[in-house]
Amino acid sequence: MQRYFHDELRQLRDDLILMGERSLDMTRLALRAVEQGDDALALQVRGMDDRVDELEKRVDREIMRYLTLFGPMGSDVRLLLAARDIGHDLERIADEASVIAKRAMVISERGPLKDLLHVPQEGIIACEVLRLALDGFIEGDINKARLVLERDAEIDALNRKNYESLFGSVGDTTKVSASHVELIFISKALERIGDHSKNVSEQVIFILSGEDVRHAR
Amino acid sequence: MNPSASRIKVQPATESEGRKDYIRIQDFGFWYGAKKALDAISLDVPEQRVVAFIGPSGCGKSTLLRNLNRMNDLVDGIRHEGDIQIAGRSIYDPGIEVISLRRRVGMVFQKSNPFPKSIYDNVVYALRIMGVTDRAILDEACETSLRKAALWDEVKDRLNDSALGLSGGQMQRLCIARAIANRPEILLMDEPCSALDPIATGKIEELIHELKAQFTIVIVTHSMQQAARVSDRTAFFYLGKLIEYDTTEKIFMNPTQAQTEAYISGRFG
Repeated sequence: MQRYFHDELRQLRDDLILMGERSLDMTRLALRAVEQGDDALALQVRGMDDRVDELEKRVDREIMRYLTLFGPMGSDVRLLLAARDIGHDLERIADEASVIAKRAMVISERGPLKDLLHVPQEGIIACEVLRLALDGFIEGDINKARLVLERDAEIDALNRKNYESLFGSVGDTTKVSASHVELIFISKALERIGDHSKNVSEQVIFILSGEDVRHAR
Repeated sequence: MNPSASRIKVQPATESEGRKDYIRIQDFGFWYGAKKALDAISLDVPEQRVVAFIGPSGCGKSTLLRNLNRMNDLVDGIRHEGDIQIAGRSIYDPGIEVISLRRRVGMVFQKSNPFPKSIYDNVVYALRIMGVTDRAILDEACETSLRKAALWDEVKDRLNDSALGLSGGQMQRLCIARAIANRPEILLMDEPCSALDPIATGKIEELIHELKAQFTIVIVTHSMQQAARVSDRTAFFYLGKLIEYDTTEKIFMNPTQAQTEAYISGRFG
């Protein structure tokens, strides 16, 4: 029997999806701002963060309301517990996108940077992985969620390559510009986006199967 | 203490925006003989909303409910002070006929009480008492009421069967249909699901959710989960006093009074 309050679970899912799509948009736009040196775009991304923050608070209120008023059981409990974590991770992704936009503006101020290291490639993969994590949640597809757990390593590897290509294996910093340091921050932000996408997918696996795959080696 | 000082106002909330208060209970006290059962209760019920009365046994919630259509008038040795208004008029106004009041304020009891008659005769019983004999009008009222009570599809092919052959949940919905057939403005429900299994309870709760589009509903329930699920506002009573009255979300998520918090979290007593 479908109950009238089940609509509120649908609303909660919709709000999480909205958060995810906005976070992905912010990440894509922030990367474009880096590549094109587009300050206006970077500013736009920074302005988008407040909306995601508000959505996170709304999601938390919806979770608390549902837990308190409607006595959820089984998969509904798993969804509500996971939703709290997913909302937090999506909000952190938006924060990281905002950081990327901020670093883009610093680089732009110092003049165009010809060599963006592996950041564009890392950005493409980070967006692909986040898209996969969101699709896993939206479609209830556990295979997509498990794929995210594997693909996160690709982002980690590119982040390491960025660091090594700049500092080398012996830590030579003489050829490193201030803008390159900003690029390393951007690379690190993308690596964190990968981690948060992985966290989202771990929660999706928990929702769908009840299996807790966090901290698995 | 100034009685009006005990009046508990609900903060403006989106759930009641634009809705006028349909029932106004003002400084209402009530006695069974020398025993004071209600002490200076003041609360407002907005139209087309569900208000739940909760509290431990003996707190006065059913007594207050039964005063809303003056059911307690049937008890010897009762008296009251203060007032109850429905749609702006006191239910104790000498010009108010109690029979007419009870038509406007229907009631559904804890134990379903269908008459030993057919399903059809149960639903149209009050209309016949009022002198309606036109078969077409009775048929229309029967179908409309059973549809509103979410029972039509289950009984439409056996309207002449005895109502006593229905399941517990169906009987309770039949009693709701019987109350609706009177075209009341307000529905009072006194523990309407206490004798029902979870599925039948779910159907009654769904029905309450549907019915509030047309009726103002006051429900007494021992189940806090039920109050949380079905009501827009909740009133918590203890020892004949109204301890707290607010939106249901506020009462169950962040009540103001320590006694309310203790009761809803199971730490009471």
